[in-house]
Amino acid sequence: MNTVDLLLLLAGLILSLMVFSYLLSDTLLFGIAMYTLVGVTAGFTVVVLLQKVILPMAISPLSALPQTSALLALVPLVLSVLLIWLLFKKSSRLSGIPLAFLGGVVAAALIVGVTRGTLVPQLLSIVNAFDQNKMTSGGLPNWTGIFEAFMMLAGVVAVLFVSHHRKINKNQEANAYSWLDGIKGFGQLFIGITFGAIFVGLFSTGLVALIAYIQYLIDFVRLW
Amino acid sequence: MSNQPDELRICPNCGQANALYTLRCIRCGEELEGLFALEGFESLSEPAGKEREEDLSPMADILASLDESPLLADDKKPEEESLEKAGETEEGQPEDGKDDPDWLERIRQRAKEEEDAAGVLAKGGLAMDDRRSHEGRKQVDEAFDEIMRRIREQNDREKARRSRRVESDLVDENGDPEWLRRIRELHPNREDSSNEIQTDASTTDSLDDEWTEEELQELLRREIGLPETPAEEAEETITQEVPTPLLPTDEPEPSLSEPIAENFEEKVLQAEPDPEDFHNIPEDDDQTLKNELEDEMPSDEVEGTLPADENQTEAALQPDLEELTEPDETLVYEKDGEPVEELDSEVDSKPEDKAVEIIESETQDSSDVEDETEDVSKKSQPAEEPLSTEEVSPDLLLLRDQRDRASVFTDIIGQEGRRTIAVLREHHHQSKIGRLVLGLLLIFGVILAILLGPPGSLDLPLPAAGMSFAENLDSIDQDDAVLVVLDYQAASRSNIEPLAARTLEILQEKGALLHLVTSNPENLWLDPLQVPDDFIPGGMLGYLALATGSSSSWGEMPIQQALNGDLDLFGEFDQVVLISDSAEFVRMWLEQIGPWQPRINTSAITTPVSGPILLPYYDSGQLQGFVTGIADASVLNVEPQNLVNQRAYQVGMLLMIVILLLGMITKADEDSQRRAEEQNR
Repeated sequence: MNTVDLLLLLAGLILSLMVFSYLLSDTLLFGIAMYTLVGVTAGFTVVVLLQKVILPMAISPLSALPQTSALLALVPLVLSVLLIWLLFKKSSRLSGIPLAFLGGVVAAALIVGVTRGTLVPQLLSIVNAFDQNKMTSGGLPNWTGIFEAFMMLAGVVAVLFVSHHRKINKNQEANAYSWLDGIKGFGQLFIGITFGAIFVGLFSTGLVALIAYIQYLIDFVRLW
Repeated sequence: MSNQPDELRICPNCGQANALYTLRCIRCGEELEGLFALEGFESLSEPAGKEREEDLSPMADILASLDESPLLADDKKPEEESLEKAGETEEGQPEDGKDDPDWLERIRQRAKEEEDAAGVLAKGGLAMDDRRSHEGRKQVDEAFDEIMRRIREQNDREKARRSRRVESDLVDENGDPEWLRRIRELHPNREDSSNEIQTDASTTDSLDDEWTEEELQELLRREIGLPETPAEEAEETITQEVPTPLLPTDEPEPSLSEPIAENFEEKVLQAEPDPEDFHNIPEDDDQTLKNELEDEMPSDEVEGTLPADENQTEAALQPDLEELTEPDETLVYEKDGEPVEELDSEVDSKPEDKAVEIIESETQDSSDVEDETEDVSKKSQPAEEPLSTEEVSPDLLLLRDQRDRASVFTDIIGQEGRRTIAVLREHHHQSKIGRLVLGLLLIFGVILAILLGPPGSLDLPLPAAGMSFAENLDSIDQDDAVLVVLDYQAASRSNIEPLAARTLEILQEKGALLHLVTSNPENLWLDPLQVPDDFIPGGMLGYLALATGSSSSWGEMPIQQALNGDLDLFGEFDQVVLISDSAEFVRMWLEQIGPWQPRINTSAITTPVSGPILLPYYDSGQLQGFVTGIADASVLNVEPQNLVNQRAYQVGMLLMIVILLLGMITKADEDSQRRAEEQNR
């Protein structure tokens, strides 16, 4: 191990200890580590964007003026300038043009994407679960497939009913519809299982990261 | 003065008995010359001269009584002084009347002797007039002085009472305010009953220390029981309807030119600077309360207690009195249904020969008024004793709406200190010590697991999504183009990089054509073995721009300049492997890119957090498969040395399970205790 690697390991050790100091409280050491990470990341990003985006996509095409591609390259450049102008005059209406363009494009993409990428495929998946080929196997009922199909349908209906019944409870008295409360509880069961799985995954991810860095520290100490 | 009412003059012509001061006989019209006979003059008839001397004797008595009257003592001095001055002037004049007739000399001599050129008779008449006018004015002034004095006293009492109320507004030991205690004292049996408070005259009479406007007016009526002496002029002035200065009417405003009216107006103006009503009833209810009191109290009770002349004067002064309290209205007081104008006309129509009788009655009435004034003043003396319930009750003559307000205030006071709006989120100060202990316990457990024993290995069941990922990876043939998209952070590299490295190793072994791209600059420096070939700016929008595959006739799109060479990012690849620690990124890819490139098989390497979220997309066939962290490392046969310490992972998971169970038990215990406390409450 050369000196550079050793110094990098030492820096990593110090920064790791500074991050672990958050167990005590939001100390200055933790803040220094966080600001160091943010600062280095931002600096690196600026360099990458200058090298990969601004110069090749916004500045270099201007050399080809008056070609059409160069003229069209002025459009993002002007929009970028208007965004920069927003830093100096927040109430400028001209600065709202690129923001409106960006917001409109993102909103349209999200709506179309959710519809085409989530709602329709998921609904088709539920419908396909009741396909005869999936519910039978060799001329006999595939009880596993049937159970999965009905559980999927029941889970979807129950979860959707939770949000709907929550609004109803605001305007109606409690215990007015006991069977509706049963469906609501069934939906909450699905939601609870989902959140539990997400929590386990989150804890597992954090635990793996913790073990990795403690392993890193122990390996560093074992070097000596 | 009232000693000679029966003395009459006998007419020398017909013998008719006439009044003492009658100029002509009421029967025959004979002039009674003896009345104006002067001493030293020879009368035309001897009997008439005798009767004249006899008739002068009662006149002398009258004049003597006038001289003895203390009321005229002061007034007489100036007259004497003026007469002396007149005499001096006459003495100073040259005696140029030597040629005058003898009777004129005798008149002059008589004038010198009597010290009054007007004569004894005329002097007596003038003295009576002066006395009546001065006496009336004096009584009016005294009455108004008395009223103003009482108003000031009442104001002082009210200020003192108000200060005591301010002191007593503090809540008592039970937390009840002063006004609420008074309400309870008024209604000890039922506070929630409807308005049962009666405001009869007897009740108001027993409450002496609280002067209402009606009482003040009644007092003023009693004390302004003046005869209508010279007074007719003053009475006319007083009985005029004086419009309010604030709201002038269309009628011409009469001028108060008389001294009495001026004095009255001045005192009214002196009384006006204190506009506050001396009660705690809201202003908007004063008129209603007053009307109720007037309705309940018959007019006979007010007016019947006064003499007739007092009623007349009271009727005459009523508009002004009303102005004193209610300047916004111009009231016309009526007595037994007759307007004031009619009463005034009656007063004006009294014959002059009854003036003496009026003066006599007025003297007696004035003494009566003084007695009443003393009685009333005794009643109106401020009670310095502590206020009793009855004494303060006029302030609490509650109307229905006032009772409602009081009940609302009572409810508000009862709500003090209680939470009326549910707190959406209560901030519980979580102990930092517990968090520190938990963190240290986890760290020490992991350290001990690492230091003690071998790393171990995980023997977990293979997930279906992981199996599908492995099968999809095995389906890749040689020279198949595979696009690898990197999008993960440094913190999750321990979960992702072992699987990503194993996947790239497998693909390289198969001879697939790999192309690594990223839109996250951090991925450019994470793993030297996974250096991206291209940086796609714009994040998901950049991928979307490339996935649409649109081309223009005027040249390439700016986004295409991000790619090296003439690469068609989505046109040349059949497989896409997403290496991301964010389920959101995978979902966005499936939503935005998947519909545009449906022929491309997509699989993912992600963290355990993203696993539950991506399962529906795997079930729907949008994802060919995915692996989540080191739990799925066995699917790809990742070597244990490339993974984290498995024993430490097991210890950490076990500790967390224990902590979760303890937390659940503790929470259930706290909930049961809280429910028990709520039931006890």
